[in-house]
Amino acid sequence: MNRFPASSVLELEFDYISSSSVIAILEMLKMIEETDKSVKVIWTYEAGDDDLMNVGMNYKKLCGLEFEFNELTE
Amino acid sequence: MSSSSNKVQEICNSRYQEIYGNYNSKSQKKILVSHFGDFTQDLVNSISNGVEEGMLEAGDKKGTVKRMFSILVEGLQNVRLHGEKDEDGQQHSFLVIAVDESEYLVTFGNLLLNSNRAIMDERLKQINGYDEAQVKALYMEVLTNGIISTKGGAGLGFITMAMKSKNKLNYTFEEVNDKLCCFTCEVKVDRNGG
Repeated sequence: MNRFPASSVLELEFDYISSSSVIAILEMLKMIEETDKSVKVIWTYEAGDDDLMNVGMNYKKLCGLEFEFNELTE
Repeated sequence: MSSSSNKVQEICNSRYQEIYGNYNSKSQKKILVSHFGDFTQDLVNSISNGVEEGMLEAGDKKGTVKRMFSILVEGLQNVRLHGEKDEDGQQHSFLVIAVDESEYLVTFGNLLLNSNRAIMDERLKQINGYDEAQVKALYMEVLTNGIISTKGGAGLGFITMAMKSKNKLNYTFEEVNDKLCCFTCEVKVDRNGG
C-alpha cells in the first residue's frame, strides 16, 4: 500500500461527535496507521470541552499514531 | 391502518399520554418538546438544534447544553434506527422533554421486539449498576472491540447517554402483543451539574 507524503498531518476538529461516528473515526485512524505510522494527528477542541478532549485521548490510547492536542481558547 | 396496527398505536400512544400527563401534573414540569409518530432525520436535526438554541436562550450552561444535545442525538438515533415497526411498517415512537428549575427529563419511547427485551434489560441493568469510572471502562471496552451492528449502531449509545446524564437510566417495558413491547427510557440532565 502507498505511504502518505512525508510529514503528513491529519487535522481533526469537531464541535460534536455521535457515538457511531466515534467508532467510524477510530476505524479510519486504524486504517491510516496500517498504511503509514508516521502520520501525525492534530486533535483540536474547544477549551473546556473535556468530553471531546477525552475522545481524542481515547484515540491516542487505541491507535499507534502520534497525537498533538490543540486547545482552542476564545 | 390495520386493526392490529391500530391497537399497537393505541397502547404506545396511551403510554406517551401517561408520561406527558405525569410531567405536567405530578411533577409540575413544563413540557418543552413532545412528539408521537415517525422521526425523520430532518425532524431529529430540527429537534436537536431547536432544543440547543432554547437552552442557550434560557441561560443553561454550555456544558449542560452539550450534554443534552448528545443525549438527544443518541436517543433519537436509537429510536430511528432500532425502533421496531408494526406489521404496517409504523414505528409509533415518541419523545417528551420536560423541564423545571433544577432538571430536564427526556423520555424516548419506541417499539422493541419481546425477544430483545431480556438483552436490553441486562445491558441497561449493567450500566445502571456501575459507577462513573466503571461506565467509562465499559465505554472503552466497547470502543476497543468496535462492534458496529448492521443498522449502523455502535453499541455505545446507551453508555454515552449514561455518561452524559451522570444519572441512572430510568427504563420500562410495557407489553403490546406477543411480538412487541413499548420500551421507554427516561434520561435526566441536571441543570446545575456542570
